Order: sequence, then structure tokens, then C-alpha cells
Amino acid sequence: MSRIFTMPELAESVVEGEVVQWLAAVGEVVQENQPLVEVMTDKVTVEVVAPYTGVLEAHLAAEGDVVPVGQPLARFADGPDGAVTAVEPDAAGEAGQGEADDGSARTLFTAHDAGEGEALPRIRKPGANARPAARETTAATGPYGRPLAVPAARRKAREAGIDLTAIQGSGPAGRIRVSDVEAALARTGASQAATRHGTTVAPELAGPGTTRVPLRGMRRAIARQMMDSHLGTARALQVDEADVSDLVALRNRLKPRAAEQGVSLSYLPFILAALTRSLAAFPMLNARFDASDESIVLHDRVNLGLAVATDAGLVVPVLRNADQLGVMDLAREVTRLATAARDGTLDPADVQGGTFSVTNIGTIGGLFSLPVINAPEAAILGVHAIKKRPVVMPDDSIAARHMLYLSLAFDHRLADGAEVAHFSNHLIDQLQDPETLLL
Amino acid sequence: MPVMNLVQAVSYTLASEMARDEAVVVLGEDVGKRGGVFLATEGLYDQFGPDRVIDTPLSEAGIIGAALGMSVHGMRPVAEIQFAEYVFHGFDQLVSQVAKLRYRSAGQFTAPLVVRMPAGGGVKGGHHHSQNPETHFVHTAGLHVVYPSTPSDTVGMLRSAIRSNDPVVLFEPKRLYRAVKEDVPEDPDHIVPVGRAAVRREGDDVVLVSYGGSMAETLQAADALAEQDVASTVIDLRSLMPWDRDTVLEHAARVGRVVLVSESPHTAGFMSEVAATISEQVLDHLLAPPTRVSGADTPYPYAQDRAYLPGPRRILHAVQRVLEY
Repeated sequence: MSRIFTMPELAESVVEGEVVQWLAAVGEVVQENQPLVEVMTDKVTVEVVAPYTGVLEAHLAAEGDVVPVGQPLARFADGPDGAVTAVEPDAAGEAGQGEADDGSARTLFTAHDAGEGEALPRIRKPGANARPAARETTAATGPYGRPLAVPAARRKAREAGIDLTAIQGSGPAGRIRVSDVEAALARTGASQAATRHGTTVAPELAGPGTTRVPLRGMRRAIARQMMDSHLGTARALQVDEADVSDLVALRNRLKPRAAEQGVSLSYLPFILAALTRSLAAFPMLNARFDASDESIVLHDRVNLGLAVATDAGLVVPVLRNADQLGVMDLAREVTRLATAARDGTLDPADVQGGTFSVTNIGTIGGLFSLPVINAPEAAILGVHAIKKRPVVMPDDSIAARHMLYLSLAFDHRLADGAEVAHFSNHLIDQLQDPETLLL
Repeated sequence: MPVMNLVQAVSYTLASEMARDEAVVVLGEDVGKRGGVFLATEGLYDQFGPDRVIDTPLSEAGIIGAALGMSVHGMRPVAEIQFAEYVFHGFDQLVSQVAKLRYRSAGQFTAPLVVRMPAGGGVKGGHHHSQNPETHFVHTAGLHVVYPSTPSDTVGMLRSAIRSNDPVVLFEPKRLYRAVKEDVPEDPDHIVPVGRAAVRREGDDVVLVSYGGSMAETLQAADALAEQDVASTVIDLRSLMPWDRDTVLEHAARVGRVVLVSESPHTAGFMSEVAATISEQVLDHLLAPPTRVSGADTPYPYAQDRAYLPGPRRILHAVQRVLEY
């Protein structure tokens, strides 16, 4: 007789744990409370101890597997001293992942199973008070690398052209159900896209010779946010150039003075200062589109999201009330937020409440880009490298000037191209007359 | 319409067919004056006499062999095997001779005979009086195998079997012989065709498939499920060879969850065939594995007569499993 040990509840609101390392080998006789397995959650790493004394018959999760709370972790058999006692199968409990009734489970056979006057098991219907349907679990792949999924879910995913490995299963052991595929379809809208483009993966791109990296944590959050934006906005692009030669001169003049105050003065604070004033003049770009009642929500304040590349991935801390701050304070805030983002010490409040975002790509390279709007915001400004370029001057002479490309991606539902062009002009006028930014 | 139980439906139909066709005769152990140990042939001896209701020696090979000879010569014998497992003494006659005749003779001869056998447990019968050997005969090409579970179906299927030009093995669920009474159709030509299942309930949550004696526990389980708002489709196969794939596959695909209940031993039981066919044909529609609830892979235990049978508790356990899968 054996019994299944399931993933215990490791901490409040922890719904799953990753098996880091087995501390007891299959076949080993383990004592009650002996460390059994090391499990990592998003909060802590803990040693789970053996719940009984007995022979560890099987590891039911491999190292690296993410196991939802309540799902099988290990199987124990009777120890030499018979300490593990038979467990009465409970139809309302373990049935979902229980053994099939092949007539060998002695406990299923009772002398009184005639159905007369006997209390029959209560059926727990999925979705009623069973396991939470929306619980986040990971796509389980079995030992053969295929995702665990019921056949009808495989068919649905195949027809929709979506990859089962990208879907979270909510069934026992992380098994993907039809409802999980439907939820994934609803979330990404990939159904139509896939039907149109027929996304199928060539066999040689799916098997040996490839490495499959599970989408977890920040990468997953970024992926979802980007796809939501991609599918949920009517994105248009306005690209402009500004002659910032005067700004370069101004900044170079002020830089040593700022340094005396402990501020490393870059061009970005000037651009942000100009941006806040342009947003005040064009409120439709400091807004968000609310699809729920088809309205546009205009923001009184300007909270600027700043895209920061970190080792873990893209982070967008928010510079609050940017319209209330001068260039020096903007510079201080930019430095503080970027440092905190790279150090991973941002407060939750630091990444919420943005009304417009800026992505500063120039520091790395590139001519200009098409940024993805940080939905539900209305637009995002891509700021590129300031470089000397030959420019035809008003007197037809050619001069080497400091030029800056700006790419503004905006949600066309909120604003039209002409309005955005005026916004862009407004911004450029300020950058080309930078002294006003100090007023 | 006459109200009768299942064993009365047997004798009623035999009398009806014997009255209709002089070629129909009954033979077996104690079927004559005694009326059969279950009284399935009660009254026939008095009505039709010793030439048509024949008490035989204790030789199943003799009973089936004699029936084969009669059938080849234009008679329509209905042989009773007193308990299904006694048939093994006549197994060779049935599988090697009866089943093969049409094929060996290139269709020149057929064997229009019926072998009736009371089968199944739950009657404190012990090892040799409780078994369900239907799979042996399903696996013998050349035989039709039917296993009704209601008085009306017993009337219609026994009549189909008697009128068939091919040999039919008819199992009777002996623990249901007197369990249910119902109106049976009075029409002397009422038949239930071989090869067609009956849908006893329709529901969208789970499909329960069974036949013979286990239909009783399957319907009990369906009732218990209905009380808990789990809607089941219940299919009574009635006929095992040929069996009604279309009906089973249609509901299996529609609902996606199937529990297969049979009291015969688990391994290579008839429900293994049903499960395999469902998996082959409608896998893409399944939400859970076709799941069997069966007898054990042991000789039928005298001391655990009821425990051996798949009861409502085990059926609900399996339903839970497919619902949660």
C-alpha cells in the first residue's frame, strides 16, 4: 500500500513551488520529519520534511518542476516496520489524479457497495468549489518533453495554431484543459492571428537541437504586457528630428555646475521637462483609452514612465508629478529611479501610475525605433542618440549640427496624425530653444 | 400490455416463438418438467410436450452439439446452459463448430441456434455460478453475443436471436431475473435488433456505458449523480457482437468523459474494446481517459460476492476522476 504526498501549503498565498533538489533518494527509508525536498517559491526556499516514516517509492516531480500546492510530490510505500498505513481513497479528494479502478485497489472494494442505504461519495464538480480554476500553475511537461494536456485541449490548441508549452494548465499536475486553451486564446487573441498566418513550427525547429526556456516571472510579465499592447492599441508612428546644438551647448555649460550639486546632468531631464510642457498643451496624449465604456480618461498630472534595461529585463519606473519638477529635480529623480531599477530595490509604488512613457534608446545605438506603447497609456516617446549630422541651414550652407531623432508611437484611437505632428513640433521648438526649459 | 420480470420475459418469449414456428425447440438440463432451475422454461413442457422441450443429460457438449445438428436440419433450437460457466464443457462445439459452420461450408449451411446462459454475480453463487464469460464469445468470430438488462429487451432480443439465421449467444443477468418488472410489448413480432444500444438517460457531464447486470448499479450511480446535479448519459449496450459503435462514439465525443462499467474481470474485458475504440476514433474530443470500472482479475470470490461487483460507490469514484481530470 502506498500513499501520495502532495505539495504542502508553504506560506500564505503561495500556490506553487519549484522543486530545487531532492534530499532523499528513491528507495530510501526516510524517517518522519527528515528533510525530503528543497522547494523554492517566489518568496522563500524551504526544506519540506517527510510526513511519514516509510520507503520513498517515487519522486513524482523532477528537480526544476513547478508543482502546484496540493499536487503529487512523492509516493511512499510501507516501510520495513509497516509505519505507512493504508490510505482510504477519498472520492472527493484525490480522485482526479488517483489510480484508475483496475480492480486492484483493495480499498475500493467493500462488501456493502450495493448502493442501498449507503452514503455515496459526494461529487465535486470542477469549477464549483473544487480547486480554484484561475489558479496560476505552470505548463507541466512530462518526462518526454511534451506538455501534459487532455486530448480535446490538444486538438483545440492545434486548430488555433498555438503552442501548448505557452499555456498554463489548471488541471491536476498542471494538466492543460480545454478551458486553459480557451483562456489563452482569449488573452492573446492569437486565434485569429494564427488562423491568418498559419503559425506552425517546422519539426526541426521543435525537437533536438533546440533549447526550450520556460517563460517565467518577469519575462512572462513583459511578454504579456507587450502582447496586450500590440493587440490592444491602434499604434501609429511619428518620427522627427530636432536640432539640439543649443541644448548640447547649454548642457555642457551646466554640467560642471550640476556636478557640484552631486547631479550627473544628461540630456534626458531637459527632454522630460520639454515633454511635460508639450503634454500640458496636448492633453490627449497624456490620457488613456478605456475600452470598457469607450471613453478617454485625461490625466491632470504627468507621471512619466522611464524604460530602464536591467539584467532581469525591462523595468518601467514612474517619475511622479514630472510637470511639477525642474530640470535639476528631474535629473535627480531619473538617477534615483534608474539606480533602484538596476538594483532591484524599487517600491511597488515606483512602477505604478504612469501616464506617458519615455524610452531612451540613444545610449546604446540605433537610428530610430518603433516603441511599443505602455498600454493603456496613449503614447510613448523614443529618444535616440544625439549625433552630429550634416544639415542644410537656412542660408543653404551645410553645417555639422547635433541632431536628435525622436520617435513617437501613439494610439491612433486617441489622437490623429495632424495633432501628433503639432505635438511633435511643440516639443522640438522647446528643445531647439532650451533656455526656456530652465524657466 | 403484460407486466413481467426478466425471467418471465424469457419463458413468455419462448412460448410465443414456439407457438409461431414449429421449428423452435428448447433443450437443456432440467428445462422440461422442472421448468429450468430459474424457471425460465416454466410451463413450456406442459404446453408443447417432450418433443419440443427436451431434458438433456448433464453434457454441455452434447446440448450444443445436438442443437447444432438440429439447426443444420431446419430446426431452430434454443439451448439453455444452466449457469454460464458450464458452457466451457461445450466450448469446443460452440467456438469450433457452431461459429465456423457458415464459413467452413462457404455459406451452404448456417447454424440458426440460440444458446441462453444465466450469468453474473451477486447471487451468492461462488466461483462457478457467478461469472461473466461473455468476452470469450465476443472474441470468437462467427457468433453474435447479446446481453439484455430489461424484460422488454429480453423479449425483443431473444426473439431476434431465435429468428436469426446465425448463432446467437444470449446472456441473461441472473441477479436481475426478478429485480424489475415492467410492461413488455405484446406484439408477437416485437423485436430488438442485434447490434443496437439503448440510451437510458441523456446528460452532458459524463457518459456511463454498461450492459447486463451492471446496468442496475450504473443506473443507481446515475441517480446518485443526478441528485448532485451531475447529468449523465447512460448507454445500455445490450449487444456486444456486433456492438453499437456509432451510438457510443457519438455520445463519447459529445460529452468527452466516459466511464465504462462491467462486472467481468478487468483485463481484456469487453469494456477494454470499447475504451480502445473510443480512443482510436474520437480521441480529439476527449476530456479524460475512457475509464473502466470492472470486476477484479481474480476468480469470482464466494466470500466477497457483492464487493466484487462494481457498485455505485466505485462508479462515482471513477466519475469523480474523469470530471476532475
